[in-house]
Amino acid sequence: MKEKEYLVVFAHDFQDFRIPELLSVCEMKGVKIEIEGASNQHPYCFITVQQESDIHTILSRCVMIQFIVEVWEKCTSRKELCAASFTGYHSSTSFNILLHSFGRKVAMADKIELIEQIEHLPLDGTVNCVHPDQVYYICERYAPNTPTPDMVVFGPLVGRSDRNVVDRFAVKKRLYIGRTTMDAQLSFVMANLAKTERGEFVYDPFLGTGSLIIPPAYHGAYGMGSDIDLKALHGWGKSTKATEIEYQENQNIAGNMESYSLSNRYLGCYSSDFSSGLLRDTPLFDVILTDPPYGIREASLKVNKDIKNSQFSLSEQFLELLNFAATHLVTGGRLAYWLPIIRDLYQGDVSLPQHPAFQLVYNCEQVFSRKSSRRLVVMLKTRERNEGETSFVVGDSAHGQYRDLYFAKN
Amino acid sequence: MKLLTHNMMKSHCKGVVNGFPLKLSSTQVELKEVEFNADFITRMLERLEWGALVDAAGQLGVADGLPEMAPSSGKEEEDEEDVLRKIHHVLLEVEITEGELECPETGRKFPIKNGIPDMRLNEDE
Repeated sequence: MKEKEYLVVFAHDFQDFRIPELLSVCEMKGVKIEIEGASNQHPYCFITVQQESDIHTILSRCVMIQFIVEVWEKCTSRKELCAASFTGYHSSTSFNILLHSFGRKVAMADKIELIEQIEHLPLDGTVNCVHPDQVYYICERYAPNTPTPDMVVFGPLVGRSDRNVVDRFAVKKRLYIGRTTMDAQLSFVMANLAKTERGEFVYDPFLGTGSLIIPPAYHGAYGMGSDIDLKALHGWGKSTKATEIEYQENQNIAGNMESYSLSNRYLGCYSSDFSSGLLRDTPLFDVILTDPPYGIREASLKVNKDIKNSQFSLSEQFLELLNFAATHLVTGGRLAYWLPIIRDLYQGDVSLPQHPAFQLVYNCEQVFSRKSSRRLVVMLKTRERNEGETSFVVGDSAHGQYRDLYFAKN
Repeated sequence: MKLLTHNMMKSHCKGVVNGFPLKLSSTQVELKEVEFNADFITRMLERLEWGALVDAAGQLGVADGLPEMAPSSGKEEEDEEDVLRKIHHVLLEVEITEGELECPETGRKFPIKNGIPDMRLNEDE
């Protein structure tokens, strides 16, 4: 019996995050997976797993995946699909056939014509477009400026992901947002890369409007945080939404959590500079998820007193964050944070802040422009820190001078 | 502010030697339901300062039923879940909405408004 192969259909966005998210979720859930054919140029890849329930496990968390199809026939042209034998496959239940294409729009009439030309289609049930017992997919990939596809896959839809959370928790629909609110899709991906799970304690030391603790709470973790900006925590001041002037009474972090029915996993917040030594020096959290200021957008950014050569250095902040995590994460805990990068100066993992008690797990880039990007860095605390151990960075130019280079004219 | 938060904080005033726990005074306390997860409570037991939790709970009048010593994990007790639920209630469901925290050494006060403590220090503190 041939081992089952599956086609994963991703959303074609945030390409650098898709395979890491899939691998992270598999690792978190104990799923053994083999991946083939993945590329940043198109939204498909082939996978094999040990049992079909693994596919549903993957679909329950990965938001960069749209759906997964079991591969019945894998062809390199339409002609090949039309002549395919479909040996060993058969179904009599009602069905519908959908077509997903990348690189070219396929008209309905074209799709129907294609289906009619499939000689040995092993489906003899009735066609039901409204409530079929089984949906089948034809997935076609077109290279740029090519009228014929180079990949044509046929098979039953196994399931769709929980990607509808991206819409449900969309920032533009959210009660309380600010300029720093994280895109919903990215915040869910971040929680998956940090492997936040039910019953874990998640903390954000740059809480802002609380966007990063929403996905962990959705998955059953408890979240809390702090921020130097007391007004942001309370929801005081001028709204950033075009239709509003001042924030209303329930427009704050607590209001958001309540609107999503996640209040019962929100543990509160307080205002403080995270590096002031307010918390007891002991492991407290399972996960630290955060998006520290880059020095660009925040009006209330506290300027680092130790400015050298009149250049604003962000290094201090990220080194302090790593030290904070080294003290306050449990062993086995994860730190996930965004690091702004000047792309010309980036030299790979070596450009990232490091700490002897931490292992780098993921490093995914979101490109803003040719000049700048940010990277989601995930680090695992592998052991307790020893006396004297501290974070360090090998040269800090890639992110340390982010603000100055971002505004530099060229 | 929940008693969990109070249990995590020590004074960050300059020059303070032993700033834990912060003195707690409350003018308004509410009860707020939080989802119970036995695993979470069990794991948090190791991360808490038990004595300070019992004291703070006593101060707010919610310490009834709290064991004097932190229950040790691994011991199968008949009413283990009951104890965990009691701890859960004290730790996560008692909400100080208005009040004050105070550094035990300097006397510096930090207001709690609408459940959110303002722990910010001035440059010189």
